[in-house]
Amino acid sequence: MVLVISDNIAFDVDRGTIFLEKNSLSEDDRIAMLFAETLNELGVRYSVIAGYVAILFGRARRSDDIDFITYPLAEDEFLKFCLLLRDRGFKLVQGDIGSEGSIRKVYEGYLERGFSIRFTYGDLILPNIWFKTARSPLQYYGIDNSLTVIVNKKHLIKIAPLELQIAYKLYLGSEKDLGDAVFLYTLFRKALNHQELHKWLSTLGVNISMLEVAGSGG
Amino acid sequence: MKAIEDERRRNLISLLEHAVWNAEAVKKLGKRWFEIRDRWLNEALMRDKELWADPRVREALLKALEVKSKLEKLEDEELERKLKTPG
Repeated sequence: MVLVISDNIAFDVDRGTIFLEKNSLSEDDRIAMLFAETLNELGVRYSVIAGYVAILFGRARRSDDIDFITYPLAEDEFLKFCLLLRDRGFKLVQGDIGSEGSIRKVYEGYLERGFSIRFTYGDLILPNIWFKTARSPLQYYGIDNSLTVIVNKKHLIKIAPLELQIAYKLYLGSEKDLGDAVFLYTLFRKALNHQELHKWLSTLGVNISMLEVAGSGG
Repeated sequence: MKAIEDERRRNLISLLEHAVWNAEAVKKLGKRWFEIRDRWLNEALMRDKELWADPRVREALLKALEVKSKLEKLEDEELERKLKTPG
């Protein structure tokens, strides 16, 4: 079943694929797509979570970071990944991406211990890539059940399931997060699995009342 | 106290209504909406780039990013604890 959300967004619910057409990519999109492309090339399983997902689908706000979570990487796999990223113009905030020793130190000091790391692109500081490997069942769920977004029939990026993202944003509860949750809920209401959404709302102990504001729209 | 809470509630409702409006704009305008939004995003980014040309601003921002990563780890741990606790 394919649901048409707008003249440039269609959601193939059965295949878990969203098609998005844009006249051009924003700077945020370019950074996210290039990073995703590198993960795709290496066959690393990942999903994008948080604010960028709402921005990708048209939310009118800026974000400081584009959040990627991957399955755990071995040290050498991380090294290979960093070297590819370096060739494509990314830098490591916590180390020197030009030095193998520094990359290994970042792996041992941050990733292995569960800390996130950040990559900047070119001269840009914001937005940057927030990157970490999965640790919690929730994060693994987000990767295992990710949706595929195909932008302009060319770029492929994986995002965590919308139901989980909406519930998680309500759980976080900042004004920005609540706004994103209501935005995604309103935009994709017809395509959401409402049983799944309620499951996550209940798991995270959050109230659906915020989303009821969205119920009055459209 | 009640006046502050009422004001906060009004602000929140207005913010959520704006999010609904934003989603409806995407649905109605489609590609055109993205053109308008991306022009605004790119202009804002250009202004930021001018600020980042100052090395002191760059350094302060990069330091702030490192601290932010450490705080996020603490938040993750809290969520993990919550998910492990029944009820």
